[in-house]
Amino acid sequence: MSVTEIEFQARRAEDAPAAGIEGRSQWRLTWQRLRGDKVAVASAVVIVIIAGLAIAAPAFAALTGHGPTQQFPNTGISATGVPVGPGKQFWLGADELGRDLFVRILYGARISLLVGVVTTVIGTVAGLAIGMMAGYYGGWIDTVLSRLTDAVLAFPYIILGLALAVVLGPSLPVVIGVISFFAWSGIARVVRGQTLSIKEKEYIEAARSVGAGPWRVMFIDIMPNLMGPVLATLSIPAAIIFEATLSFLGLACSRRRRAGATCWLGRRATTAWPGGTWCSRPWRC
Amino acid sequence: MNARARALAGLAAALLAATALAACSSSSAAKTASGAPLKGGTLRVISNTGPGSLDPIPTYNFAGYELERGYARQLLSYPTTSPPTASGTAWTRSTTPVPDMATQVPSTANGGISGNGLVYTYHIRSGVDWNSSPPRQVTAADFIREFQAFCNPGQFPVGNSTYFTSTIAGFSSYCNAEAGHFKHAKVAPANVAAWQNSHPLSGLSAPSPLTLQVRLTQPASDFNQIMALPFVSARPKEYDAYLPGSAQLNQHTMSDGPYQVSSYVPNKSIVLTPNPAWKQATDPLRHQYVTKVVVTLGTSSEQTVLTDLQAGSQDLFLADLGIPSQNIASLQASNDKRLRIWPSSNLNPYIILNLRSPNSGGAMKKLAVRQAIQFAVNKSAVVKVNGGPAINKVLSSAIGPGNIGYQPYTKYATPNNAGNPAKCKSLLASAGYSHGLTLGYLYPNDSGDTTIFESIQGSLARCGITLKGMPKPSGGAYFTDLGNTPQTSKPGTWDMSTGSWFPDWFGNNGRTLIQPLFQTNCSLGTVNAGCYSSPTVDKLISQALKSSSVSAAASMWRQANLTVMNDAAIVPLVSAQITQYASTRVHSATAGTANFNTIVQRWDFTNIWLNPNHP
Repeated sequence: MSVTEIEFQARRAEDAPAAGIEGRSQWRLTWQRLRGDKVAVASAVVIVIIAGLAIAAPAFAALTGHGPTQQFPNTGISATGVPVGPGKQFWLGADELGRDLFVRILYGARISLLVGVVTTVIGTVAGLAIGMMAGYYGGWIDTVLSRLTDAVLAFPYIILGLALAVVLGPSLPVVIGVISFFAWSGIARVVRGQTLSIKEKEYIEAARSVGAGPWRVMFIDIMPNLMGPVLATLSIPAAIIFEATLSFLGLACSRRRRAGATCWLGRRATTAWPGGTWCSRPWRC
Repeated sequence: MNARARALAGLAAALLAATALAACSSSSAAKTASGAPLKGGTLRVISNTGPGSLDPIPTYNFAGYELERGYARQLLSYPTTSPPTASGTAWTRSTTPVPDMATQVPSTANGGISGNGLVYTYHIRSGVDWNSSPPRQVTAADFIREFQAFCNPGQFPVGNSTYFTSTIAGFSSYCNAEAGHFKHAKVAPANVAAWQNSHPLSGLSAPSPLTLQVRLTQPASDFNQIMALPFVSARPKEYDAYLPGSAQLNQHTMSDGPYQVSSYVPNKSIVLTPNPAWKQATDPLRHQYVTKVVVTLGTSSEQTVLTDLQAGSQDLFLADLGIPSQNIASLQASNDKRLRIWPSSNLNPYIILNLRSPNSGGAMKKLAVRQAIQFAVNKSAVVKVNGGPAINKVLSSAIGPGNIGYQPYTKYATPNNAGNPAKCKSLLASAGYSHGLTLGYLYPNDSGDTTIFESIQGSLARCGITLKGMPKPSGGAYFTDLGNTPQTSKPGTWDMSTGSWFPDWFGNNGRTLIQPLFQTNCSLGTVNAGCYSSPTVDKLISQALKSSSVSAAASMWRQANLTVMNDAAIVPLVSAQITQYASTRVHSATAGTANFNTIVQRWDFTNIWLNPNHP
């Protein structure tokens, strides 16, 4: 390149209007980071597919002609009582009552996702509130709330779930209540630790010095900085697994097949009900 | 011959001997397996909780009957046969009482039944001994002792006294007198025995030591079937030292059969060994093939049962266990000879309709609604979910095949027993339920009953009937709600329920089938849980019970069944057949592979031999 050409390019650069330095938001940075992570993208695709299938459950029911609770004993069960396997009519086979497994799994996914999201939201809200109060106020409030958190963390959740199911009867609200009851404690502990650290920052001191009250400081100044750790602690998958566990134990509503219920019914199909002989008249058994 | 040659010669001789021995063994095994029974060996039986008691008085379950077959004889019993179905001459033969300890079955022809049908005379075989020391002849007094102990004031009265209080003269007043006396007196073995021995039962007498006479309050064509119940076993005088059914008696049982209880460890094991006092010549029904019977208690998993039997570590399972029904199809498909399916005739399960329920505008009180339910139920689906057609026979009426009074009932028949939703809807509409209705369904919360409920729920949903399930623990709240709600102020606790009924005997069995299920009896703990009441049926029952003619009784039971079904009092579903599975070394004398005894409904181990017979 000649000196003239270099001078020409430099003059062009000097004459060009000054370009602004573009800042990138936290969300954009996150998105760019995620986009580059192939595993994350694949996971997201799977989740979207599952959610899409769950939302489209009624469409699949219409397509197959099989409702989630409809029984087809003539076609779904063999003459000897064995459920049919995957095929043209039942894409994933049928269960012991001749119900379409594929349709029931899709409908069950709706409930599993619902339970997962609802319990996580409830748990997050409760955990944020309790954790922030414990971390911000300190003193006896912190002591009481921390001990409560410890107690909930240590409690055997299966036993509580069983007890509540016996007293209240198995149902979806009971399952959501049990999972929510345990979901907040982990988040509360993380939030408390972060709050203890954040409340010592200068901007918090500054907010207090201009007259901001405790609630304003907690929810306007502290909480936005907790979003990262809270999102990292989000437990939607854990909630779904928890719900599947309770369903497996028969504590949940049995009208739809969810992940746990699928396993439970699969187990039931290979264990016994009396073969050919029943308890004789009840009063003498 | 040098050393090497001697060694080779010895080896050759040994090989020759081994070959000869193997040939002998295989030929003798083949011979005994195909023909004569082989004696010896230990029969290993697997059980759950066992019979509960070794005393025939309170024992009222198949597991207990199965063991009593070895050590407690009756005057009459049933032969061990193998009918292929619950009908035909083979079934009739297997369900007709034959002499056991008695020399003959009383009849008017042989003079064993008096002309007015009120006096039955049983002659006891000479030579039937107790395993006392020294052996002692069983007498008529031993049977009278058994009857006298039926209503004992201890914890364990007879399993069902109704059969006896309603037939034998003086029995009811005897029981009432005993109850009255021990309301204030101490209940101890000596006191109880003393009272019973000093208060004769007027309907029983022993004109001679080996003759028992029973006087009835009215003729009963099924009295010999009643006398063939295991309750009516001889009772030795040694039992006066214990309260019936007590743990002490369980440790001191005596025997007049081919086996005796040599060891009983509750919840652990029961061991039976041959009774040296028993004589084959006095017992036309039993044998003494195996050397020992070891019953191991404590197994509850049916999958474990199947695994153990297939592995050969156990030989049989007792009647308180079973094998997984979902394995039956594959066992049949593989032609597994160890699987036996025996005919039975029962209502197992059936749907009870609560005729007193006020729910949904008194829907269950309306005949059209009950008939709609009859048409709605998909019985073929119930067959499928309950183990398949091999072990479930669809029923159309309360009396099933194999019992007198049976007649195919077709009023509620549907194509392939798959239900008829259209007919159901039309009947509902005629009853004012064109928009459907909701009913409560009570059922035991085990997995099998839950599946049955869901199947019924699905079939009724097709015609607009919504069933709300009410699962309750079996044996607890389920039976409480079932039997109590008619008497309480909550008759609407449930509208429909799953029931299960095995009659106490087959054939001439209206007394144990139609009477308990359909005679007016809306009281606490009733078996007529739906509180069905029909003066017509009550009259027919009363006439049938006092008929001395089997054919006349059959006609009345048939009419009663017809009325019950026309009233749609229950929904019969299926009659469950009995499945048995045994190890490969279990053999029996009957043709084919089955060895079946009606009253026991299971294997008769006194007619089994083992090959190979070790252990």
